[in-house]
Amino acid sequence: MNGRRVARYGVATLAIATVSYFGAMMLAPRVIMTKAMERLAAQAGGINTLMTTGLPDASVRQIVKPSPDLAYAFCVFDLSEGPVLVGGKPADAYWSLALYGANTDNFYVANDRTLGPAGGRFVLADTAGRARIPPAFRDLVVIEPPSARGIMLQRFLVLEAGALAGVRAAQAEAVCRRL
Amino acid sequence: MALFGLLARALGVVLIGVLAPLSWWWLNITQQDAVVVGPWRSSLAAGAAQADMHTRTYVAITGLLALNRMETLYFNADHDDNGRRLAAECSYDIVGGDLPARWWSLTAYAGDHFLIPNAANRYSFTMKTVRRDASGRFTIAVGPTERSGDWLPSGTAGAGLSFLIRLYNPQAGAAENPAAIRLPSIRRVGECP
Repeated sequence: MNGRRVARYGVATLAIATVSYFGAMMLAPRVIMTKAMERLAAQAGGINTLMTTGLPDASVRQIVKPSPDLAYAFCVFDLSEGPVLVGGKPADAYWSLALYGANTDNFYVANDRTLGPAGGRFVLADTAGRARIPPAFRDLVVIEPPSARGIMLQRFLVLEAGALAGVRAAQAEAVCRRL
Repeated sequence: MALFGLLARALGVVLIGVLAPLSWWWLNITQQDAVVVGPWRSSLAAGAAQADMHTRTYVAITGLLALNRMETLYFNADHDDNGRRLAAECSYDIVGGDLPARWWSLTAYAGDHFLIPNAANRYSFTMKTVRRDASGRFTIAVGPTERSGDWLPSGTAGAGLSFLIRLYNPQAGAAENPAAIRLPSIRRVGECP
């Protein structure tokens, strides 16, 4: 193989390396998150639809590294048709409500200490969607997500098996629906 | 023959072009942007809006839907104290003391990042369930065969193994300086089969 040919292969390898590297870095988080949102929405029965779960075991394979000590309430939100109401309240141990954008960022989180035992409700709306918030919900805190779609995930710590009934009651207070 | 040679060289160029940079990234992402405490690593930008594309990709693969570090600190280990990759067919002692958080847990995962199937449905120990000796220290035994005390099954040989410590609502000092947290040691017990 002569020098010119080696150089040609080298340039081609470098070009493919550059494209594949930056392509993978930019696309992978959104592709993986999109797949996760599809799986979770299918499990919940639709977009802007809440789903609650008990403690995960080895058969649960929707999201990597599930915590076996947490029960969850989650939904995939979509603001394309208007604002979405999300909220919930803690049981008697650690609880948090976290919001994730389509690029995987955890752009908002609150917990039982920051919100208190009553928990909280929030309106998710983009700039255009603020005008479409019904009057009854305009006093709520409005959060503007970085993307139209994302995930709301509530974590309920289950300290012992006997605490599951209290967690179930708290999960029943969780909400995720289009306004 | 000439066509075969050309195709082989083109395939080589594509394979090297795709695999080399991604391998380089994987090696680097596990070294950079991370706090290292013994065998434990924590990506401080996980879940945060300031995470760069490298961290986002790493978190998307290994820990999607992580919380930001002020809410929860995550420490992952896939090697023991001596730098040997964890293996499901080996036995380990995880030895340490209580961790500086409102609540903490230690969970074992298979190489696919999901919980390890086992008859006891036992996947983790927490600050509530782990047993401590008179000095407040705990020992969690991990391995394929049951041992006395707090034992976590490690699953099927060849399935891979990692541990994850979660610190929910870490104490202020811990969240600001995770490198100073005293995390458990991971000691291999005996020889691997």
